Amino acid sequence: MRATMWGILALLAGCAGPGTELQVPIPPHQGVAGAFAGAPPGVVSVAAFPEAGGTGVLPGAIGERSTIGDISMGQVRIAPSPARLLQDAVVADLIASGWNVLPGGPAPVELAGTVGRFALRTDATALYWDVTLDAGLGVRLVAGGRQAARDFAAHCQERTYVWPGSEIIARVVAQCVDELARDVRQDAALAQALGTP
Amino acid sequence: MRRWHRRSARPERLAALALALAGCANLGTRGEPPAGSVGVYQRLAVVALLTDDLRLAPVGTSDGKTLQAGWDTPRLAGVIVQEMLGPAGTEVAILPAPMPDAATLEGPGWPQAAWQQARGTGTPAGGALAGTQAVLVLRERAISRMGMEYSPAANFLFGGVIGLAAGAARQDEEFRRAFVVRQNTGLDEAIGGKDPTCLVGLDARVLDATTGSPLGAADGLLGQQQRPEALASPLEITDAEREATRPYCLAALRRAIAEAVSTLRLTRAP
Repeated sequence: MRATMWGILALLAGCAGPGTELQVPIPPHQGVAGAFAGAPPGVVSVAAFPEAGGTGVLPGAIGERSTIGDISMGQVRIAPSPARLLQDAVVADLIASGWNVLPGGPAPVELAGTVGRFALRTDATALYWDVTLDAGLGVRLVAGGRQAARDFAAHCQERTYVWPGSEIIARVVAQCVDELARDVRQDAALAQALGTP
Repeated sequence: MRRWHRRSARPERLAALALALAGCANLGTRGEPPAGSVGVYQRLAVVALLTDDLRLAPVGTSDGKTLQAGWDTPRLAGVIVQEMLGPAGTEVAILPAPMPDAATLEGPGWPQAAWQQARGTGTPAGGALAGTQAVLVLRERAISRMGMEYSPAANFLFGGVIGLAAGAARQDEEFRRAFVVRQNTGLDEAIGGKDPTCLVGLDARVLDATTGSPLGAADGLLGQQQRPEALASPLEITDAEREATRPYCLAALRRAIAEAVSTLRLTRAP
């Protein structure tokens, strides 16, 4: 009985209008030194990662919250946008590894990133929601005659027994950003292209 | 006795649950295909019978104004379908579609008329539908300023006999195929705020590309998106405001198309 009432309350709580939009602020990634630290530090230029987007996709929109039957309960938009979040995370790790980072333009080392996907979903059952983010990042690094191009993917999920709000979504997004940043800074091919022995 | 109580309580709980779900279903739409979805058709053609019009319809007044949006809306509707189904492995061809006359568009055979039109386009060698398994036809639906569906019958019932004479005029005035930008005024503004909402309605059909026979139907799909900044005037829009409104109207269109794609089951789980 109690479980049923909680279920009904949770469902009712989720009954926001379709125009209802959830704005979720994402905390910045804290820079961590990685394999890049093994290379002689220098100057790296990081161009702005292009927004993935699509026709009719609003900036920062990453998906929709849904309830049972895949019924959408409104869009979720994050700030900063996925491209900016991932760019900032990679830059923070480069700085933590001792590199000086320029915002784009010619430099001895140039790094470019592409957000492959950044899709949130909140699959619902009668008892819980699974908040899931599928994220992908492509990184291309050119350093003199050396270059490397790598694709990374992260799948982050957290379960909630109450209507998924901004806190849990922020955690799941931040987890995926941290995982992608970790994969980039620990990648051997990128580190070698940077000059790590 | 105890068992009797347990049994009697169950239908009430189920009824409450059903009501809660029904409330949610009325408010929400279906989202886009999730990552990893697989397209049901390998090759699909899209015909978008959409206007490129924008209607300013302030809530709380009987005024309204329709103007050309200049957003290339019919083509962008096809692009949105491409963006949704492309990752699922469906090759989507966007077919140009001149808007048919009103009688054809309102008649029961509008999907087949669009299919025949599509079949007639393309190169003489094969036609635009060669190699295509299905045709998705999107028809813009006339909606009122409140985002209610086009319904002459409802007009008649609510307006009564007196309203019948005015009904024809009201239909033209209030129901129009266009993006509707609805901004609250007066009391509505005091209650609901001023930020305008862009709405668009769609009907959708999937047809067999070879025979034109219907494979699926979805009617009355409504997309809406609030713009977080009011227009200076609910009845006028500057070029800058129209450009700033565009992403929100296209977001509304994307939501309606997402619901069409979902309802018509154009993708399936991997």
